[in-house]
Amino acid sequence: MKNAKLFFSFIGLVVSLLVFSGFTTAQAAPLKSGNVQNEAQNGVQNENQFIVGMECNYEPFNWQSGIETPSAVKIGSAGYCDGYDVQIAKLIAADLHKELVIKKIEWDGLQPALQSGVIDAIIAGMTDTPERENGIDFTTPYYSSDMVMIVKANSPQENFTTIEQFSKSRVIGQKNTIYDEVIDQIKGVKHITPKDTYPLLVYSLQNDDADGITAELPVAKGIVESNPDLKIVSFEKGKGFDADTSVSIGLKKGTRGTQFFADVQNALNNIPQDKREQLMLNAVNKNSTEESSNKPPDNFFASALWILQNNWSLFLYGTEITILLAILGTVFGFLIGLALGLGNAAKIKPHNSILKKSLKYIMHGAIKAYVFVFRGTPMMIQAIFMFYILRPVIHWEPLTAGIVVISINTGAYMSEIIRSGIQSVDIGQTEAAQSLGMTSNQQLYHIILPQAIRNSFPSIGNQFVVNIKDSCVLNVIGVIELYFQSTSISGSIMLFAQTFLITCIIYLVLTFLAQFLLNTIEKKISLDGKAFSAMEYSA
Amino acid sequence: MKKNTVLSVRGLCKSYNGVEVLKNISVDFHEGATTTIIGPSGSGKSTFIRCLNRLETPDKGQIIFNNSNAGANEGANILDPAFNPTDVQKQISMVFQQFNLFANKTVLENCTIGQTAVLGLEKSKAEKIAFSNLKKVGMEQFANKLPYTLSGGQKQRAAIARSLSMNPKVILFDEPTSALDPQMVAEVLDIMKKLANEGLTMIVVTHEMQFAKEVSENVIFLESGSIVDSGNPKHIFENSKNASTTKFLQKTRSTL
Ligand SMILES: Nc1ncnc2c1ncn2[C@@H]1O[C@H](COP(=O)(O)OP(=O)(O)OP(=O)(O)O)[C@@H](O)[C@H]1O
Ligand SMILES: [Mg+2]
Repeated sequence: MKNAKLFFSFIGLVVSLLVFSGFTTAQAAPLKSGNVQNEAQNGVQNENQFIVGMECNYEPFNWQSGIETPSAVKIGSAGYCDGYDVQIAKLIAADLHKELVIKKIEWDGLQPALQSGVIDAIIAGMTDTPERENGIDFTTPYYSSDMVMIVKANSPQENFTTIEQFSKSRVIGQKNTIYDEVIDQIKGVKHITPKDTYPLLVYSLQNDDADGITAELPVAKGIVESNPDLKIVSFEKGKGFDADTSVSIGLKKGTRGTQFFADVQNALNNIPQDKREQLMLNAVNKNSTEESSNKPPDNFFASALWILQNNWSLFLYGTEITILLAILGTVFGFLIGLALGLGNAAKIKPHNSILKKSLKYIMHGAIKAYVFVFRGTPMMIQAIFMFYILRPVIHWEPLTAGIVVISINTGAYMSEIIRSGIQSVDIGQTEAAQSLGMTSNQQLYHIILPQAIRNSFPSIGNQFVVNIKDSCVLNVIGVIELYFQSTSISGSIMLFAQTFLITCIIYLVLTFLAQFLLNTIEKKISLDGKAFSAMEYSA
Repeated sequence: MKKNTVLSVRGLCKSYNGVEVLKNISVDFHEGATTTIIGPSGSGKSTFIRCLNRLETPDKGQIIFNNSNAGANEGANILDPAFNPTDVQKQISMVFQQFNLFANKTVLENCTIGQTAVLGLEKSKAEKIAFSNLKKVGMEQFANKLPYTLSGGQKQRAAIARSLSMNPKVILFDEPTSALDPQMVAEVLDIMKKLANEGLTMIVVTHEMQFAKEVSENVIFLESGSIVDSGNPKHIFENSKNASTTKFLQKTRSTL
């Protein structure tokens, strides 16, 4: 009796934990990210908002920080966004008499977001190219600059003045941008596989994986400013890249000719050239002054602490999402696994009708296929595949998609755990239940499942610990969890090891606490008063 | 007065992987009587008794179940493919060598779960019945204990109470004392004797010859899957002309 009560109080605990976390995030998410998420679901319907998409990771055009400054704009949960693009966006929104909302979106996601109406405009240091014209209507440029190369100081490349001189060098550019494409204009160049963000490119350069990075002059200035070991190579007239390096505001395809397009273009025209240059200078300097006024200490651990102090709210939000993913993924995964395990346990019996027999046969096959596919592929691939294939149909947010993916993935593992849990129950228990006349469903519900779940509790709990860690792969579809936040933070301050030291510690604390909680529950629900054998710390 | 036949077995055959374990067995079991099944290890005793409540499915033969309160199932052959095994299982319950108490349920819940889930009784009514049966086997003070806290003898007595609580037509016992320490055997056998005297229909596979001698109306001697000898205890234990029987009894003399 006592144990039964404990078992139910455990179930109660899990449910309340779930409900609690579900509620807090359900409330917290829209609160924290302000209008961004609401807007995302409704498309552009709020006439009073001007929603702009940018990476928030492309200095000095746009970057992210945990610090509030007069010029920065809040980007909901992810902190603040500042930069040249942000200042331009502010001026245009003011001219349109609309409230500016900025949405942080990965580079590859910008055009889809614009097309589906999640954002009104792309102001993200994006260059107008004929290919992009196919999907985006661009205004006139809002900034023009030279394309340059970032190299290491004191390297042979430091004194180059033409792109031809880079013909034996290894050059890298940002993935899916003109800066990657132009590299092929250098004959004989070693074109290195592009990377997603400038911080990663800089890292490649500093790590001696590349000799040069292609970049806009202001971007290069920003990078060299915070990395004294790097230098800018500018090219002589006619000896540089053959590319239009102006950046324009992108509006939804088909809006050219509308009043909205005209209003935006007009607002842009109202910003004079000297104002633009001043803003760009501010952006480059602001960024460096911001950092120099609040510079990380030299000591490794002290700088890690400094990162935590300056970005704790970003870490906190990421941690909350990671916990949410782990809890929901494990609970839903458990329910899916239970359903599949029960489907597997529904044996085909001689006295079943033909229809029932064939339905059971099909069900068993379907369960096998599900487990085969989801255990046999990486969750990261599942996430990308499901997110993008279903997005046109259900327009889901990355977080929703992430929860679905981790639940379905966990479900495949759970169904195997439940299956072997059922097998682990002594056959005598089934026979005794049978000898009382219980149907197979009654045997399962009253006798087998309660014991199977208890027996497999260590594995079920381990799945929770695994989910705390593995949820990080969901960053690929833009779920703002702990790893995603860490990448953003490290990218904006260029301190990778120090940032990820903190990330490591947070993950360790989470898995340790989870394991402690699980061990406590195990002890309470075990049927012989002892905890299960698989008690060791298995994270 | 001829007693009513509860179970009538005709031509029962069963083989495992081509090896015949039960060979054409025919026998009747009478209402209110205790039948013991004896025989050497591997002779098919367990297989046979488990066929009687469909824990095993025989290959051939008939088992007619005569139950005055079975309604439509009166006189049905429980081996008919259309016959749902649970219909006989709720009326013929079983006590196992390894007790098989439900590990996740208390002693009381072990005795009520079948009544509520299978027979559809109210919980309060089921608990009343369970308690009276636990009292009968001297286990009422352990009602709220989980099985792992009990000794072997206590477990088996609780298992007997569980079977009794279903108010079955027949209780099958498969070596109920074989897994017990010697000092616990008596407490279980005493209860079984009491039940036999109360007129419960019992079919008991046992190696306890003294017990078989005392309580049986009929003793069946099974060897290599066939009934080679049967009759009242006096016939089997004192007057048997069958060479196998006397040889087997000689071997087990020590327990007499
Ligand atoms: N599931 C099974 N698969 C294959 N062979 C089996 C199976 N169950 C029983 N047997 C075989 O059938 C024969 C009869 O077994 P059974 O358990 O009925 O004997 P028993 O008389 O109860 O023996 P014991 O006194 O040892 O319990 C044995 O040879 C046994 O090995
Ligand atoms: Mg046996």
